[in-house]
Amino acid sequence: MKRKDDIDRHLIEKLELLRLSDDEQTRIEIFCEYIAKIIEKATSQGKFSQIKPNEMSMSGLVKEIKLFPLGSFSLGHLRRDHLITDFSLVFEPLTENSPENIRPLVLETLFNYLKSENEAISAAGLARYQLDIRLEHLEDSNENKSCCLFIKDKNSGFGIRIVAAKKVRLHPDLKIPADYEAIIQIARVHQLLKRHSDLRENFNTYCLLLKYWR
Amino acid sequence: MSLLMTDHKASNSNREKKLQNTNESPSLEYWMSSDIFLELKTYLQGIDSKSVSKIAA
Repeated sequence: MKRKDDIDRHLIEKLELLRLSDDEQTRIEIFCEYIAKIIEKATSQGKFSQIKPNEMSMSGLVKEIKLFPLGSFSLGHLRRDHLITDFSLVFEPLTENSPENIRPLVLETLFNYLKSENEAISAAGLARYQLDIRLEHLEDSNENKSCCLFIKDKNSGFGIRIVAAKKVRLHPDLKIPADYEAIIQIARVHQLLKRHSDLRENFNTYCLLLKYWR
Repeated sequence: MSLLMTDHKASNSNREKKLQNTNESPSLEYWMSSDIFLELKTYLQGIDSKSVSKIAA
């Protein structure tokens, strides 16, 4: 019995170290929302600045873009020692004959747009965050994750990592592309947890602990 | 593990409640509210109905 109490105490201590407070959770949600709003208006051209003539604009490439949260952030159990959120940028190409390499092209275009917007917002004295924006080429065998956009606030340490996914036609009998599988998986888990809300507490706790031990 | 569940229940329940009750909070519902995800919602409903029919059969 004493041993069980010791284990319980140990796990509680670890959970306290890992779990975000409501305030921390709210602040990171506000950060993600701030970045999402800047990104999602990219299709209507830069409000604050002009894209350079040699760079493609988002509106010349896609009809619509929206961010979809993945991983820990999407299900509400970010760890205090890893304040990086993952998102998929779901986009609908402007034309059916979109370039084959459209995914990295969308991220690269968005990268140029964000850098330009960030400079303009900072110059206007309206910046809420000190952003470090990078396009990262990942050494990964999975082609869908070969490139990602990484945005980090230098002060808080909050970060957003974005991969791109082309919107696809969904049908139970059609094969789902790999870059859409993560989105479907998160949406399904979320749906199940909504239906069985009494299990959510256990789910969150186990996810936190599993991540700590991993 | 029961001890762990009890100790953290209050604060998390509040957050869940907050996320479910306000459109302002960026819960998954909030991020999925765009038209671009309408097809995803329909697809998930379709998969669910298919699973239910299989179980019934």
